[in-house]
Amino acid sequence: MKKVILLVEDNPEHAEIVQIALTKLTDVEIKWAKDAKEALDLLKEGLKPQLILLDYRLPGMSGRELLERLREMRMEAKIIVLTAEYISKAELMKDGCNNALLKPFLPEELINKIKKYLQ
Amino acid sequence: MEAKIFREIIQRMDIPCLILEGNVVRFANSSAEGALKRKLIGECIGEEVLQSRTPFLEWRSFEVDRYRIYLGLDVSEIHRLRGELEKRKEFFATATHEIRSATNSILGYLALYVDGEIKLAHKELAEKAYSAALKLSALVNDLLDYVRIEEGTEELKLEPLKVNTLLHAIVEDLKGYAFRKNVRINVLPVAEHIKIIGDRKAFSCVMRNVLDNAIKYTSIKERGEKSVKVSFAEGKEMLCIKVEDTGIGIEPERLPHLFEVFGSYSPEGTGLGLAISKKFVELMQGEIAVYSAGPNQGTTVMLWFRKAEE
Repeated sequence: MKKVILLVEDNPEHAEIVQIALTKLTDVEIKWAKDAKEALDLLKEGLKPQLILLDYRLPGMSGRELLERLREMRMEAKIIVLTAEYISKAELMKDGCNNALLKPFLPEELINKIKKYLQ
Repeated sequence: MEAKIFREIIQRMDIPCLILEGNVVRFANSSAEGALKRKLIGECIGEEVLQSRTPFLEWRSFEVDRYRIYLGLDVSEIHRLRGELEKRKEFFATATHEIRSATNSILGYLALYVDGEIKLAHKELAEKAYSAALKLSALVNDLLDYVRIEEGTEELKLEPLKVNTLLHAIVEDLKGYAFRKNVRINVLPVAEHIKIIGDRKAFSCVMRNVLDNAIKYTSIKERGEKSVKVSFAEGKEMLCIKVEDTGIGIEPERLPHLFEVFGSYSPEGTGLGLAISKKFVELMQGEIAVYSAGPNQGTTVMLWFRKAEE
């Protein structure tokens, strides 16, 4: 069965880069939500991602708020934060994500991180 | 200390000062009276009053003999500086965020380009990396310009400038860009001899910025007429330059924030162009204003410059 990754990212360039990079992984389906609301709608409709890639600076509800909401919902998916915020990885980890990658990153770094969580 | 001398000293102090004797707080000097009366109604008795509704004063107390003395410190300057610092922090946070974002696009596309395994048109990836690099370069230039103006290191040389000549040179430069974007530019004539007071570089920067925005936000409109019109209105002391476009317009709630740093941010721009333009225009003792009736209703930018004596 295909594994589902939910990408929450408002920057179309960054979303495209991640989507192209992930074509390297087999048996993975990627869903793209442009903001927190779209992401929550997809989850409400029954989407069950193994992994959520989450940008922090989003229009409307921020990625940090969404992360909190997902934890409240007891979402089982692992969450990797991808952000260009002026913040350290240690601080990000405190927010309750499973892993974090600071922009700019190489697509390969992302793939290596993702692989760990899809096994 | 002699109570009388003590009181006399306190009365002469210029900062608001109160004395507590037993349960009664007295105004120790007229500046305390003024400071409290401005904000408080009623008597000032007891300590609660001192945790007062006077936001610009913070009371510090200490004891001397049987008196407790309260000194009211004026903290309005501290509040102002705190606000200023907050703004700077936010500017820095947004600036670094934008630089990291733009770098992420360049690095990402280039990495995919270099990586042979990805089956995507190489030319397309290279073009995307190139346009992301252009954006980063515009961002870095705008940031440096903005910081230089803010710090006051950007010195302007105000002199009479020939509007007609300068503006035509700028429009000429932008014609190719407008043509590629399918936008028509129409500059109405302005009398050859009209001169304004300004700095050549700043004036060009502002006009280029305003025209560049007009073209950009007109080109991304999905349908309808795509044109930019530049016209002039001459007053006794000022010259008004009006740049009207038929572009995507601006939502009313965004209008008041356009000139703030990163207030005009959009995926197409750096969010600094208008903030820089406003600073430059003000340094040239002019004014700038933006109007739009709403989304898809076009945008009009009005610029006023002081006319030079003929």
